[in-house]
Amino acid sequence: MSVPALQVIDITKYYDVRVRRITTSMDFRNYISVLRGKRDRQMTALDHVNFTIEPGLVFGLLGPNGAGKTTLIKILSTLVLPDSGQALVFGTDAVKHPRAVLKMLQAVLAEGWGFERRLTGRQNLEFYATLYGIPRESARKRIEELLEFCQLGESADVMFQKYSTGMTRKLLVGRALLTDASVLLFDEPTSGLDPNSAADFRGFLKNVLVRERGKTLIWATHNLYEAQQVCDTIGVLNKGHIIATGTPSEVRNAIAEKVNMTITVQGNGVEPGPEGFEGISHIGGVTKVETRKDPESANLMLAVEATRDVDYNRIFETLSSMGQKVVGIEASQPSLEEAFIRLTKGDKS
Amino acid sequence: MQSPIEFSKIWALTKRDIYNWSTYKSQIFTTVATAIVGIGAWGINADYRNIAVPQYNTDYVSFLIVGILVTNLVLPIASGVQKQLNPWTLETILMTGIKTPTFVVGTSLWTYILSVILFIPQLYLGIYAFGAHLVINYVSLVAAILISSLIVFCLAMISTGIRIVTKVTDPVTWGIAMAASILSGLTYPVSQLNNYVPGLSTVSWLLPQTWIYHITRLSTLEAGSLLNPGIAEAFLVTLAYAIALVPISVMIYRWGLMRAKKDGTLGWY
Ligand SMILES: Nc1ncnc2c1ncn2[C@@H]1O[C@H](COP(=O)(O)OP(=O)(O)OP(=O)(O)O)[C@@H](O)[C@H]1O
Ligand SMILES: [Mg+2]
Repeated sequence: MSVPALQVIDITKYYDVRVRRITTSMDFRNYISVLRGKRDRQMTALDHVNFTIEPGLVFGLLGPNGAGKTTLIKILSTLVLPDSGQALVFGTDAVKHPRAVLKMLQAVLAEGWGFERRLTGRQNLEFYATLYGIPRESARKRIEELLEFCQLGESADVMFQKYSTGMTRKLLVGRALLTDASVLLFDEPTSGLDPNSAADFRGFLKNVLVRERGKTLIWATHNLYEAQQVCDTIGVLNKGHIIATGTPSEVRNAIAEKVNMTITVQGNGVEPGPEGFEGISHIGGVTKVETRKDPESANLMLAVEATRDVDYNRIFETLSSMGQKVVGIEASQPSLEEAFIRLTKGDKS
Repeated sequence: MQSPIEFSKIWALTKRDIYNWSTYKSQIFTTVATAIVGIGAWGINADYRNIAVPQYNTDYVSFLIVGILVTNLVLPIASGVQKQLNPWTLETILMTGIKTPTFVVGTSLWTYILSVILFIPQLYLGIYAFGAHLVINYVSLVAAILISSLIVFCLAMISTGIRIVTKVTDPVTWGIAMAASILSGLTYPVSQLNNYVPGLSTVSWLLPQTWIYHITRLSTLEAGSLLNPGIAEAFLVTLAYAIALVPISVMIYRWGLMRAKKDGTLGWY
């Protein structure tokens, strides 16, 4: 078996709740406690997080605000140290060998872009290429390629402070690709982009970076639609816990307790008795039944909500024993969104 | 730092700082003006009470002018790191896997070069406007500059390490600068301190700044030769000081980085 691109093993991170800031040079008490790193009350930002990512896939780190996504991304990028646990990038420990890991992994952070505002996009890339230790000639060629690749050709020589959010994102990708690292981490890559640009950008990351170039991506987002669109695997993170992992549909199924069906019965058939379709709601698993007339065909539409283990046969048997003729049936799973809200709102544990 | 790649990294950081500095025209003006006015004010002051300074076999104007030049040349380094250490770029720069000495030297080099550049008009002013009388031994002077630079870069590294954790202020650098301003003998020979508190000059010699002033004055005021055992001793002590500071400063920097990574505050300001 090949080595996973990334293994997160039992990572736990605590933060100090009371953030100490030194405000003046005379603030000696605070100064001492900052230097000592005294922690009087801690919160758990990540609690024994585990997952594995195979190369060439997009892993979605899905979670609401404050779930711990950025913390995890920064731990993997060696910018934050975990309190316990390991992060292995192609088998190399990120805490013990940060420089080796940074050769294989690069991150695009949500804030702190690190571009010099008074340099152009190209000059910024040149600056970073030098810091990455890329020899000048190959850097020049690579930057030319990347500017083209990230569709920045025209704005390459514009001062960075004139860049729009969209251009900034592209330049960030360009920088992350300078060293051709094979694992790329993105923290909220589409935040601040309009829907069209966001869709383009998603397509670019997924189709070009992952499918064509074989990169492995971690994609932190709170946007379900986005996770569903681009991710091969999702880990749902809530309050520092991974509460579900799997493909988007597995995650949805694992947590989707409810099924919604719309059953259409012929309108000019037998009139239901005085209690209507009451009988159906007594079938095990059915939680709700609503009836309405389809204005066009005069058919009756039954909206049935049930648990996943409902006995579908009983529903049809009941209908047919009432003399109803079923002409249409539609079943819909709850959306990932519903699943997500249910998961992250409920008291998990 | 042996490889040319490390030098090109240092140069990239320096170029960035030059560029940022030079795009603010008013900043160029104020830097130059401050330097000139600074030496002017001290020079007039010294000229007013020009007495002999037997310790270096010279007069007070020359003694003070060299002190001021060293101050302007050396002390801005630590504050240079403070100015240039930018939380907006810190995380992304560290993600390049840059080595510690490369990063610190690169971050402070421009401030250093700038003070060297300003040194020249100041020297000119000191000699021609105030009649500073310099008797220089160039070999000693080069040695003094090299040793002082090492000390100063170590101090810069300590300052960086602490500042990464404390963000806004760095009381350690501030404290050392405070102590240095009274104890290190910028405006008087440190033996003068003993007239107020007996034995205080001994404390002075614990500060690296005192040694920097001392060896620079030895090489510029009385053409002290390294072949002279008394002078060579002063240089060796300063060198030992510099060498001892290296591991300490690397340790403090590493510690600061680790602390900030633990607190998750690397990108904060
Ligand atoms: N340096 C820090 N010191 C103290 N607490 C912190 C620090 N960084 C993050 N936190 C806290 O840790 C928790 C997780 O934060 P994190 O930024 O990882 O969440 P997130 O999932 O990225 O959220 P968002 O979607 O809002 O970006 C939050 O409660 C946050 O307030
Ligand atoms: Mg975040």
